[in-house]
Amino acid sequence: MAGEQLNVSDQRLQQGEKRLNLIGRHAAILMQAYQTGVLDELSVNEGVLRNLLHARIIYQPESGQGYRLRAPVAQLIANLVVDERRRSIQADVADKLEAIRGQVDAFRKAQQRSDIYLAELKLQVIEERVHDLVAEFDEAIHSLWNRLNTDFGFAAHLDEKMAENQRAQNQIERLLEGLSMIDYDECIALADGHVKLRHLLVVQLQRRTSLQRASMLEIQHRMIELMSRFREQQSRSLLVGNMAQFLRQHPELKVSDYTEQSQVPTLFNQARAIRAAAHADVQSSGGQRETLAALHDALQQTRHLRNEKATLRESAQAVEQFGDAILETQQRQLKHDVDQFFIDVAQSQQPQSALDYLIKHELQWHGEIWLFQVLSEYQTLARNVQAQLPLQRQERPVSTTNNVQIIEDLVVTPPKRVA
Amino acid sequence: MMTYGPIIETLLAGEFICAQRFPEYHQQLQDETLQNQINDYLRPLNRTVSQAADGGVFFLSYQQLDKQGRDHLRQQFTQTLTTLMPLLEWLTLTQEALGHDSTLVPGDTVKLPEWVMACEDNPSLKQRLANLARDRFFNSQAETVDAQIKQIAKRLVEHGYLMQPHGDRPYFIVTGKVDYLIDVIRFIRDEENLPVDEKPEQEALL
Repeated sequence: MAGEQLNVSDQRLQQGEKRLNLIGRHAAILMQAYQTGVLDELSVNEGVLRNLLHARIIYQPESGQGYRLRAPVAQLIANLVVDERRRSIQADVADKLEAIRGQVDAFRKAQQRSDIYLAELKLQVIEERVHDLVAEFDEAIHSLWNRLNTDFGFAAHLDEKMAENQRAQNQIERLLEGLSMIDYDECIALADGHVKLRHLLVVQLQRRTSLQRASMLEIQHRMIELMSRFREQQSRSLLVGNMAQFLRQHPELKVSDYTEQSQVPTLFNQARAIRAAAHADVQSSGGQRETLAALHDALQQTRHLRNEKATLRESAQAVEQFGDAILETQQRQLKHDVDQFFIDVAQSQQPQSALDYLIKHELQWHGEIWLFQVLSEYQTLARNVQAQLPLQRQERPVSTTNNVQIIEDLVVTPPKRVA
Repeated sequence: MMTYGPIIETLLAGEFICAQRFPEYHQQLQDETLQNQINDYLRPLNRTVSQAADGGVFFLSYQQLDKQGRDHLRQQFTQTLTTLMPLLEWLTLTQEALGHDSTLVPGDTVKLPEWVMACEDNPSLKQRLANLARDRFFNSQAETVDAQIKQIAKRLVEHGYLMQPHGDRPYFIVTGKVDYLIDVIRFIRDEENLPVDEKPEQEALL
């Protein structure tokens, strides 16, 4: 009997290989059929058509009608190319659980009969079924995430997107129902006393499905959020469209003047602009560049009037030097502020945080630049001075997985005075 | 020390602060303490920070209304009413031309070449665009689609509905002020009881 079964599976192996090859050989026309829904009969000869029919790759719904891809083949392609328009989600858990139950039963009976070969075979089938069940949920979750992440980009219109979203939400509900059908107590009872079964049905199935459950709840949450965004978009478009239409039809419409009410609605209470007195903002690099460019232009124009020939290079240098001068002034001020910070610490009794100092003295420097300067100034201090003014870094790693340390603050401790 | 001088200057200049044009200020203004501090500062100037579109935009209002203030608001309101129609038409036109699901929302990108191409290919859109461009608000005398659209975009930038991240590239970002416009439309509809629906027609109830 074992030999017979081996033969059967050998035959299957060969047949499967042949048929997969057939799909490969005619990939182009099958894809064309996938795309258009109907196989182009004129592009293949009758022999090929017969082979494809025989191999259960295509079928003819009714005689006289065109040939179509069988659903599993179309599904295969949809899954391979992640075509969300076509990808279907199978939520039929009950049937799969029933099959697993049946196979476990057959396995136990084979064991009782000491038919080791059959028991082994059954165990293999059970493993496949469990993987199958888990993989189906995985596939569904993948597909749903993909739809979410693309905002249902495959649907052309908002209405269609909303319908797809609703459909996805229904699918999630069915999937969750399906997951809840897996009864762990029953799984434990089924696996009773067998290590491999226990691993399959209890450890693996339970661990994976609980992760999947969490994932699905998250998707459900996001789907609802996305749906409300779709609804908002829809009502906004309708509002704008209908209002435009209404105003077009009623050009004589008189709107009451809300600014005459004692309490003017905030929406219509926009104060007149007050322009601040103009001054050169040396802090803003963008403004600086504009000012410099304007200056540069002005200089060039007057030069032109005075008929002086200035090479571009020369004026570019002038701009650069001017820019450098501003930067240098800023740099000097920063250095001065940092020096003052060290002097203050040295004269005080308490350790001081660099950032607190920055805030307390209302200095304008960006925190990061400030810390960097404090650190680099500290490095230039003489060793014996450094020893008197210990500097402590307050650091934290970027994340639990990335151990690069970020300096959050620096604390300098003043020298201890002998009383 | 957090400086809010730049925020105050921007507000005083009459700008709308939204997440697109002034992301940093918009973020900072979410903090109510800061808003109070700014309001304290603005009190002698008779200004106060207001918001619309669920905190999507911030701008300055008069705290107390005197004759001058009221005159300004009346003038502004008349202007708002005259710009309403062209702005609505702009929103519906771009939605159709660009094939969007919904009217523009803050953060959307409008690429001028795309818009030009869509209008040039479609006589009805082209006609509507020409009418829109001639509206007093946009005030374009141009004959070509390209020039009309450029003028429209320019005016929309001036009025703060669009921003152009790079002066030399023909694409624009929709700002939070569009949400303010939607608020205005809803307000007028509700106050005047206009039969303007924003819910899809319900399926006949069984």
